[in-house]
Amino acid sequence: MTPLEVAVVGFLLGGVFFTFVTAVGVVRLPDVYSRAHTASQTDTLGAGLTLVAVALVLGLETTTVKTALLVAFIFVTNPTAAHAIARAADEQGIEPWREDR
Amino acid sequence: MIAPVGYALVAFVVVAAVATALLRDVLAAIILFTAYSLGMALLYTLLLAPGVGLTEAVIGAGVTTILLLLTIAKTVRPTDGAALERPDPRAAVACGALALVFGLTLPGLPAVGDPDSPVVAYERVTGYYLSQSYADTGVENTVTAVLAAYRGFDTFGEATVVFAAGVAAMVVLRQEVFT
Amino acid sequence: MIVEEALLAAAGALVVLAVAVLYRAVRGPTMQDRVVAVNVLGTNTVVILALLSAALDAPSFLDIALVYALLNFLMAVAISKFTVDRGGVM
Repeated sequence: MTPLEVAVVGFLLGGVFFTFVTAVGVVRLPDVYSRAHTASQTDTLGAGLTLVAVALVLGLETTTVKTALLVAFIFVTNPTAAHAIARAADEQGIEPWREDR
Repeated sequence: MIAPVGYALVAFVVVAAVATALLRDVLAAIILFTAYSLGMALLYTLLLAPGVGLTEAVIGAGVTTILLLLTIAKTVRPTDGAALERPDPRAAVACGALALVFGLTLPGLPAVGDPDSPVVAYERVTGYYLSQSYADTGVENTVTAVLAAYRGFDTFGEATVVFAAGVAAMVVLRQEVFT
Repeated sequence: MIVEEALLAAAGALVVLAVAVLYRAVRGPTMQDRVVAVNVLGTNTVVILALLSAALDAPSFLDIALVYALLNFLMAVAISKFTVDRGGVM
């Protein structure tokens, strides 16, 4: 395996691992706020690492700019969406989960 | 390696479709329908029809969600607690039988890219498009070339109809909820 | 060759994880839970499209991924605003 292949496989493994963590968190965590917090993991580390691997495979081309744009869009839009969701949940009066209840 | 991805996608789409049909809360069904449409767009793209996938992305995740949200602004929520619809057994049997009949025809379909399938075997038609579409239209993907170039006027007519429908919907909805 | 296999394997793994996240979208219990789950699914879809684009050597898939990255956001914001404006929709 060339160093590039090692790097691509490493980034892919990292991306899939963090998406796995997100899937476990979204299924297992107790309330909407904690689920929203773990969901942002797939936006930053999961998508970020995987798209870095895609950019490495594509190499230095014009299409690689699109992967950079994808990362930029995801980094801008998903925190905004997460904020909107959490705020909507708060305005509906959904109480954050506490251990003592 | 492509086939397992396809099977996983089909499982995803089937789960999302059944959940959409069974959920009693309309808003939940709309959200699940968005998930279904995500899976379908991926499937179309996996089958190398990116133009159709793009349309599914825009229509399924964008337009349909907004239109359905505007629709349920006019409807009511079910009051009793059950989360899932309890389908009529006869209707469930009929739907299952229909799905089974359609499923039984699947083995009769030629495999993807099978050189002996009737579509490919009729060289005169398929061969022309496969060999000439790039020279004729300059579009790299043959499916997209047929949709957007050879059927260009047809697609243009459809776009006109959709645009007229959109304008009409906006006129009707102008004094309604979201203003 | 190994790179294509790795990309497709990653895409397959992400689809399987998407099925797991779908559980939360079906289960709820609140509407925001479902929107969070579908938002994760949307990001997953964008990533899977990018992986397929690299694996199948089809750069045009990246355009679909770009469209989805923007639409996904629209859906989450629309439903959040809708649930707040209507009150009681949950």
